[in-house]
Amino acid sequence: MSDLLNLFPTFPLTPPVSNLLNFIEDARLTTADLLALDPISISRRLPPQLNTSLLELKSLQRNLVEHIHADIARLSSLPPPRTITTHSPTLDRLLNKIPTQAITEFVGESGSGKTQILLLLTLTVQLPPSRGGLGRPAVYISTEAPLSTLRLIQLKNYISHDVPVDEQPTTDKVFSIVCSDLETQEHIIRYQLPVLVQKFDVGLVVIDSVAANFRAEFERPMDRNKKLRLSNPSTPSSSPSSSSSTAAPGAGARRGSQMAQRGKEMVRLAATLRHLAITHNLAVVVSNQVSDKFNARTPLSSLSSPRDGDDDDDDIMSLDFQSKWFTGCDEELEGGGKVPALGLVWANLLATRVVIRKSEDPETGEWKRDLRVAYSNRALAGEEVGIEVFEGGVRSVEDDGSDGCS
Amino acid sequence: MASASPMPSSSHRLPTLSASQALSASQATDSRISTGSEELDKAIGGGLSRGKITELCGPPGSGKTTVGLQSAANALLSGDGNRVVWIDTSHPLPVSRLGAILSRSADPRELFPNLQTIRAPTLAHLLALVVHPLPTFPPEHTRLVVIDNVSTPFAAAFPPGMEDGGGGGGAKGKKEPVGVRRFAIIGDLISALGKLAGSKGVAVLLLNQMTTKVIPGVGAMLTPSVSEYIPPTVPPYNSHQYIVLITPTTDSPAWITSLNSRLLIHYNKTSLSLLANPDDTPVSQIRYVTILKSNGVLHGSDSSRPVVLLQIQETGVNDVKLVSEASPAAAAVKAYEPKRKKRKRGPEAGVIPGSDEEGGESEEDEEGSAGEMYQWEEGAEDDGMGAAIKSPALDSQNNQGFTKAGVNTAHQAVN
Repeated sequence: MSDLLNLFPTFPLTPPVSNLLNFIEDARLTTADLLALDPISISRRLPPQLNTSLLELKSLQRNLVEHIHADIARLSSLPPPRTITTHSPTLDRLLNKIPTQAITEFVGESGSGKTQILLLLTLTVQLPPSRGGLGRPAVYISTEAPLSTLRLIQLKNYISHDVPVDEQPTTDKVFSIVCSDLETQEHIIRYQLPVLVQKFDVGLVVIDSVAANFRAEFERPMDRNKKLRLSNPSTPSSSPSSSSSTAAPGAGARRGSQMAQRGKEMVRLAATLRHLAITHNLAVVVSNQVSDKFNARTPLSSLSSPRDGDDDDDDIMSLDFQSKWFTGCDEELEGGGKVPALGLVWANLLATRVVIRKSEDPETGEWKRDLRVAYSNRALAGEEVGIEVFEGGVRSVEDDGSDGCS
Repeated sequence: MASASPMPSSSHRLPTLSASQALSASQATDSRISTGSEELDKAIGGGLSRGKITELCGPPGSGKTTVGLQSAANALLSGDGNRVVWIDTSHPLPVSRLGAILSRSADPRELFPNLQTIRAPTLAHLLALVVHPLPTFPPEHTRLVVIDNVSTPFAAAFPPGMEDGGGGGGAKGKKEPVGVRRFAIIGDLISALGKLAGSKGVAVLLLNQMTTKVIPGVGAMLTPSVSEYIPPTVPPYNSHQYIVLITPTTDSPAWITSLNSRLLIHYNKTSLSLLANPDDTPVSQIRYVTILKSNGVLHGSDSSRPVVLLQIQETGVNDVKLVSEASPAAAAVKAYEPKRKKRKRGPEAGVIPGSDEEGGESEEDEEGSAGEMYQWEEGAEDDGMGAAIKSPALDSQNNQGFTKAGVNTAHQAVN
């Protein structure tokens, strides 16, 4: 399938091109091929009876190059990214706010407060630029529980208390939809979302959570068994598998192709979102789930000493070893032994990953939440701050009380 | 190929230079762009080389973009009117961070006009830009072109799962040509970049992400995403495996030969006791750069691969100062190693620390493990080559390939 018209829907279909297009599709020539191959090689891939003139192909290529150069010029002259406030000074400092034109991820277990942050953003994005927003509506795509309207109203009331009426966010400007399976999700994001964004000048797209449908459709119970086998002490040379993408091959070609399929869907989703984000200068914020990290410290392999367990089996460049940093997973910390779903393929597609760690205070028995940037191209990773969920959304423990940010 | 594209006349041929002119040009001080780290610059021959391609690959958050930003800042600062082109294929250039880096030594507002950002969100855009460049690309006085990053366009155009189409998985005749085309396009892209770099005298810095490859019996390893390696049919397991994985001979030959330098930036454990200023260098900001190829020279084996420590900050890249005189490689490995050893060879651990006076003279800290390593080295070191050959055998049992690398370096440092 040629991707020419997907990528460049405005590419003019004048006679030489329109006649060739079907054959180009049949020959599986992508736009990249049309650019990288010379006309002779292109003609060789087309059916011989077609007798394409090289001149025609040459002019097709030239038109295409010109068209793309014009597109590059258009894209490059788009306005620079803007930012959306989180309504908490400390979080704004830590995250350097939420940028448009990029994908930001919040990852944490359920109840860690990530949905609260997403809800809050659907409101702060509506604030005027002078108050840290974009003055634009938001779209909330949920894959699990539908949008909690009551909570949204509560947040809205809190945010609005010192904002003039005409600048206040409203729940009318939060469009929400539930997609309960991957196919619906893909359809909505690919076809309906762009229309909505265009029509209402949406400034923020939220997906809560991005992993749910992928996990439901691609992750299967056999994962767990495989991991158990992999980290069996009788095969000490094999590094224990943590992420679901690390199971041994040969154990299931089908599983391998499933993972590939999943990766493909994720790459496509991210490409669609990024395209929207850039062309409409909007922010994309997604939440992600976590799974428990499974490793050699679990009972099966307790033959090795419990303390400095699994790490040391890994080679420096093994996924297990390197992923400790970019997953934000830190088993030394209470509640830290969790890895974000969707693996490295997804991690590569994000501009920023924010990890929220939930742990129980041993003394009071209360839940504690700590937020930190795992990686970002625009904020410094590493610093962890305690956060709390309160009626006005999420704030850092340090902000406590003095949260009248404007 | 050439007939296909309306090339600007200037890129048809390289400017004519005599050998001596070329030599002096290549040694001129402004022929290199600093990465911001003295150690890293030294390791790759003085900085990013103009007219050449440097690749920096690493997992998310390892600091690729920061090194790119710092290099861009240094190129902008290197002289009046020096320009930089930043091509983003996924996320936009974080202008605020570049501003923060620049403002350490100049007013960013004066320099921003010399920075051109270009968006190339798909492979088609990137190819049009590089394979069929406009006469104005890159503009005059451009010193550096950064592509952040080269892998995302390929991931989108050739989604995961298709890339090993040439191998076992997708021999349905449907997928096979896709994998072949991917390889061919990688070759086209890198050769066009090489031509661009050479003819316009710009340094090209490619940022590349990592992908996982599952090696039977080993697990998932990270390998550079574009130009990735094809797993060997019978992977002999030893802890040199990671070296095997990123040994460029298994990469796309066009890709690897076109690179002047290839750097792998990654995480590693660092022990606080080895840092000269532990208060100024939070461990979370420390990254390791393993140099796989520098200045056209491949570092094929682990022991010959220089390792450099960097500190990645919001305001750019810094060197990490270590307490000892030992090379960063030795320090890094030592920082990582002792824990492993103690656990792996528990019974022997009691014997070996006795020999620590040998290690003591070079290292303040970690004497026990330093001595331990020397002990091992002594045994294997009858002849220099022997050590290298023997170590895999030891490793298959003890998992200590990395120790070996460290030992060699440490030992040289002492002598």
